[in-house]
Formats: sequence, C-alpha cells, structure tokens
Amino acid sequence: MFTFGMLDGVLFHLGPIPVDHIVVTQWAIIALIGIVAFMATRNMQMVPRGLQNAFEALIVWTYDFFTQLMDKEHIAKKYAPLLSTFFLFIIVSNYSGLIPGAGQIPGYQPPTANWNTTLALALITAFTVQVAGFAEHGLHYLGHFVSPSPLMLPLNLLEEIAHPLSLFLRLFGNIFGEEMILAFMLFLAPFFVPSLLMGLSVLLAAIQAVVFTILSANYIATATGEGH
Amino acid sequence: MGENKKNWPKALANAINLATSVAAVIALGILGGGWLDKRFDTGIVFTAIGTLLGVATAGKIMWERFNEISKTGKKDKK
Amino acid sequence: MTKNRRYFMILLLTLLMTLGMASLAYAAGGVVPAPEGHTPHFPNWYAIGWTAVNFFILLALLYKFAFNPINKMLEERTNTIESSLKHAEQVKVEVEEMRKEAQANLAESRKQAQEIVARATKAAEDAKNEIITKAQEEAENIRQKAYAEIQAATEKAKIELKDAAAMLALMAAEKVLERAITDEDHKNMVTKFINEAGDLMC
Repeated sequence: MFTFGMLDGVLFHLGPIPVDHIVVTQWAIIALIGIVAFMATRNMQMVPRGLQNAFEALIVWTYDFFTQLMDKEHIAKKYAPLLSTFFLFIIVSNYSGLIPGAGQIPGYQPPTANWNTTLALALITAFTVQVAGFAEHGLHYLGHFVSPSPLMLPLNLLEEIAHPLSLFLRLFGNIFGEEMILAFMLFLAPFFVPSLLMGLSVLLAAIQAVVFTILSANYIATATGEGH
Repeated sequence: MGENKKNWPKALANAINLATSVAAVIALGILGGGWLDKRFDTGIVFTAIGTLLGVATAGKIMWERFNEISKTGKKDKK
Repeated sequence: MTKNRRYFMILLLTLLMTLGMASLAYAAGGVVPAPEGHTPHFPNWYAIGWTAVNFFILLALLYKFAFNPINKMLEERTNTIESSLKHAEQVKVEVEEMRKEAQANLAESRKQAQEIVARATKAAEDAKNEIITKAQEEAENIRQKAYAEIQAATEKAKIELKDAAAMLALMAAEKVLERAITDEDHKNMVTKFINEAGDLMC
C-alpha cells in the first residue's frame, strides 16, 4: 500500500456508525496532545520550569497574540482556547504527515490531508463566528448583512460563505498537495529531492496552522467588532 | 502612536484575509454560477451573474479594507 | 550559534524522515510504486461528524489540562505578586512610622536631658548664691557684733572716765576751796564741769 492522501476507508464500525482511518489517526493525535498537556500541568508550580514552563509560555503567548489580533480583550479571552485548540490540532496533524510511514503504513496519513477533516474544522469556525456575532451584538448582528444597504445582501452573504470555504480549501489543498508532491518526488528520486521538499514542508505545515488560526480569529473579530 | 507597526498579528491577519477573501469570493462566484448553470441547464447565465457578483464582492472587500486602513491612519495622526 | 544549530537540526530531522520514508517504501515493494487509491469520498458526513466530535473532545481535554490550570496559576501568580507588593508597601510605611517615632523619642530625650542639665545648673547656681549670701550675712553679723562690743566698751570707758574725772575734780576743788560745800552746790558744779569736760573730750 502506498497512499499519500489517497486513503479512504472504514476501519471498523462502532455500532451502526462507521469509523474511518482518519478518525482513528485523530484519536491518536488527541491522545498525544492530551498526554503532553496532562504531563505539563500535572504538578503546577508557582515558579514554572521544564515542560510546564514551555506549555505555559505557549498558552500565554497565544492569549497575548489573540488579544493583539482582536482588539477586544474579553473576546480574545473567550475564544483564545478554541483558537489555540485549532492551532494545536492542525499543526500536530500536519506534522504527523512528515513522520516516516505516513501514507505508507496502511491506514495512516495526516488527517488534514483529507477534505472531510478540513471541512469539519472550517464549519466549526463558521459556526463559531456566527455564534460570537450573536453573543456580542444580539439580533443587531443581522444588521451587518444588509449594511450599508439591502442591495448588498448577496455580496455580504457571498463573503460570509467564502470565509469558511477558503479556510477549508486552503488547508486541505496545501496538505494534500504537499503529500502528493512528496509521493511524486519519492517516486522519481527516492532520496535527495524529497528531503529538500520536506524541509519546506516543515515550514509550510506550521504556516498553514498559523494561517487557519489567524484567519479564524480575524473572522471572529470582524463579527464581534463595531460592524461596518 | 505607531500602533499599526507594533500590531503585526493584526496587520498579518488583515493582509492574509484580504488576499484569500478576494480570491475565494471570485472563485466561489464563478464555481457557484457554473454549478447552477449545470443544474438548470441555462448556458452561461448564472456563471456570468456569479462572476459579476464575485468581482463585485471582491471590490467591496477591498473598498472596506481601504476605508479601514485610511480611518486608522487618520486616528494615528490625531 | 544557536540559530545555526537549529537549522542543522531541522535539516537532520528531514533527512532522517526521508530516509525512513524511502526505506519503508523500498521495504514495501522493492521499488517505489505510484500512489494507490482514489481521492477520499466527499462529503463523508460520518468523517465530518467524527472530526467535529474529536475536535470538541480535544477542546474539553485542553480546558481540563491546559487552559483552566494555567489560568488559575496565572491568577494565583498575579495575586501573589500583588500581595507581596502590598506587603512591601506596608512594611515601608511601618518602617517610616518607626523612624518617625524614634526621631520623636530622640528629640524628647534630648529635651529632657537639656532640662535636667538646666535644672542642675540652676540648683548649683542657687546653692552658690545661698552660700554666698549666708557667708555675707555671717560676716555682717560678726562685724556688727564686734562693732557693738567696741561701742559698749567705749561707752563703758567713757562712763569710767567721767566718774574718774568727777572724782578728780571734786578732790581738786576741795583742795582749792578747802571748805565744805553744800551738797547742792557740789552736784551742780560737778555736773556743769563734767558736761563741759565731756563736750571737750568727745
């Protein structure tokens, strides 16, 4: 088997619900992140050191980052955990495709190379954006769809739909394309060229996670902002 | 205040947002129009409408972004 | 230095990964075959639902193990720092108070010492004055007593002299007159004489 991003199959059934390969991979990723988080915060110290220090610094940094990004601090505080989770999940998923064996061991490939995964993430973002808008402005939030005039409704709707769609397609396209190119390179030249490409992939995987998170934050900020 | 220079996450987010939104909106317009055409067998009517809508929305996004930038620029000068 | 090492580490890691991938691929089929399979079915609502569920599980896990404890810790740290700052401020105020108190005490004792010295000086002065006065008084007394004695002696001498003079005058007169004079005449004469003589003498 040799399936870079081309894997599609049901691993087993949980009652009537089919469980795909990527779902199991996601479980592994969740377990990994969860164990690291557990280890980091198992024994909280007043003066942090080691793993706790690194993990704390990461979380605090994301708080600062989102606060800077979103202007309103209470919004940033409220949605920073969600956005951090996006970031962690996506970056670990992306990197899981760079471990030897991804796309070769049957059933193992990065979840973000599957467009069902990225669609789910983009839908969560879209849903969160609308919820955040309503939570901040109440029913006045609907007003921004018809501003500055009702004539703009289709344009505003198109923009609103384009947001999650761009998130979904960019993440999937990048990771899937990366996997494809990697497979192709490995097919052509088994050693040197792929290693160059993988160096690039290390960077690209991180950038895609950051971009997804930043854009989600920006959409939430726009929905909860002053309105236009 | 130099707030604009300091707030690089926001600048970065706005830049990425502008670029991707413009591209996605036009693509969505064209593809959505094409899909509707295929669905209703109407030649290129919906594709044309969709393309126009997409381009208009792209223009709107750019216009908004431009206004925002000039507004914050004025605020900075004050 | 560290930056270079980081780049080197990334390069090494990627090389290792590629090596692993290539070796796995070779082990699988001898030669690297073209990718198999087809693009995943879309939309696979089961996979989408599972992903959403997994995402929220991860969110809950991170809330439990990362966000909540870290927020709590940050809050705690803020509180600790605030309370220690407050405590430091309090200590500062206390020290300032103590310093003021000590200063007040010092001034008070200085004043008291001064008072004591002043009082002692005054007492000494008083004693001196008293002694001097007493001495002067005593001297005066002695002087007066001496004077009185002298006076008394003079008086006594005067009276004796007067008596003697009277006797002499009498004797002389008797001799001169050789006749008895009446007591009356006698007394008048003598007194007159004495008075004259006394005036002359004194």
